[in-house]
Amino acid sequence: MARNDDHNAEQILAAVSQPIVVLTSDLRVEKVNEAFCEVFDVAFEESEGRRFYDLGNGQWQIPELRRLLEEVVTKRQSVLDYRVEHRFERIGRKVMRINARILPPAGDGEAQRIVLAIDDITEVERQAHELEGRREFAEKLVDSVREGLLILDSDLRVKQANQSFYEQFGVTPEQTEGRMVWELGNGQWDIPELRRLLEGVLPEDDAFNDYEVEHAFEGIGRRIMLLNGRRLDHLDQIILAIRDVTERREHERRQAAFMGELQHRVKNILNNVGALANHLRRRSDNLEQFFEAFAPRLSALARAQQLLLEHPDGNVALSELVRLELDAVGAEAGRSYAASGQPVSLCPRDAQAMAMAVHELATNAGKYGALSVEGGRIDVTWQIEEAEGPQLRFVWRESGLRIDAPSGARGFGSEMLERSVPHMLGGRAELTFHPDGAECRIGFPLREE
Amino acid sequence: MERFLEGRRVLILEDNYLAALDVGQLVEDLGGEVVGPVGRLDRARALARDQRPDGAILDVKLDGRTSYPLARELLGAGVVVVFLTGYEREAIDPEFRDLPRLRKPYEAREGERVLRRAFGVGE
Repeated sequence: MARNDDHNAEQILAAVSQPIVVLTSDLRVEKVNEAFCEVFDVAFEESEGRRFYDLGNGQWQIPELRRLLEEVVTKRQSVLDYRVEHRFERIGRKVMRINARILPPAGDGEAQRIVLAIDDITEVERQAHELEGRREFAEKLVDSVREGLLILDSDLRVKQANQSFYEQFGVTPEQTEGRMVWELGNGQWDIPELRRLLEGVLPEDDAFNDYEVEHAFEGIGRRIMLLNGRRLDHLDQIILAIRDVTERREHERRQAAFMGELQHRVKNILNNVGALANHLRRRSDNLEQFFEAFAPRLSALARAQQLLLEHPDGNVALSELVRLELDAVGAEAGRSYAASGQPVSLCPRDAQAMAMAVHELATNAGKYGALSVEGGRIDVTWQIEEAEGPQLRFVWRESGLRIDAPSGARGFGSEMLERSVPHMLGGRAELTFHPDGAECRIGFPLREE
Repeated sequence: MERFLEGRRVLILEDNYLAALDVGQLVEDLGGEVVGPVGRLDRARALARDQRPDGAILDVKLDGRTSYPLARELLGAGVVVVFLTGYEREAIDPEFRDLPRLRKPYEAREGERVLRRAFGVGE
């Protein structure tokens, strides 16, 4: 009988995957199983009969193990779940959980034996540690991400949201956790298309990207959001990443509008240049004459554009415009001209029109007027009068000439002046020729645009 | 240039003086008579009612508004309407997107072609 029992015990020990050692009361190895030999890289022959501590080059000389065994021996009691960690020479670092049980003596007068059941929990501990590491990583990652994240369980109930989500939507965990995603805020996520994505697409495809939601959100107003959804199979959860693109879209819209305006302006300028060339061509007998009329006016157009570029929000000071055109024909402030008046801001369209008008006046002054004679002067003054809205009264008075018989109109420039002011500015321009020089009075209503 | 606008009177609404002169010159070169040019919507409307032109070349946007209402009125009265604009096709209201369009800047030949088609004159 005993032999049968022994035989069964042998078979069981051999089959078991857990390393097992049976020790005599004086800590000699009575028996080890296959698993023990395999795990701890020792041979059967080398084990049985030896002192346990001597096994495998003394690799079991572990202080903790000694403590365990001494405790068991002295107290004659089993010790369970005893953790021992050791760096073995041949097999490396191992973490073991050891159950040390007292075995009743084999027979009368025999000493009791100790059976050690050793669980190699190295890998288990390592995995648990790694898992903890991953968990910490995920938690901190979720929390550090700038986009709002919602973690939903498979019923679409909010399990968790990150800090960015709470900040983004101005809500608290109490208002969020445990709620159905459709219930959040003012029902802002209760959108048929989103339902379709979360309930229909995600189960199939496990991901969707850039789903756009535009909505008046509770508390934060009208925003445009892009949503990415991911299904987590192992945890049976859904991640919703929410990015607010409202500002970006607005910026893109403004950029596009600005580009459109710019293109429009460029086309207008090119058209003006072409129109100018066409018009002057008809009035010129030869290339020299054409160029003489064309080139300075092209420069004036360029100057006007430059002024506008320097004031991208629109308004150009009249004083700056006047000075620019007079400087361009070589007049000197304080010597050949004086320009003054209350501060007047012109909208871009009016600025361009006035720049053309003043250019014509300055050109004429240079060719036939005050700037063409020694001692000639131009006095430019302006003011705003109230008469059915603000009206600009602009006076250009040349002096220092001696004209016996005023010649009157002088071709393209003056014609442009007298016609373009009414046309573009909705006002009037009057040219008068005094004996000592020309005078031009321009009046038009100032507008905002 | 063939003077296929002979006998036709064309209203011109364009707030840029040089541009207005230019398109007016085109009309005259083609034999037409220019009504205007004017740079303001209200003046254009008044002139249209007084002078009853056969055609009108209108700047799309001016005075901060569009000339669509005027275009609608003129089209209703059987006047040929051509838009003059620097904007892309997409920027024009869908209602008027199929109207003949002179895109600034344009060459004389292109201008002639657009007006030919607008006034229903064969090539």
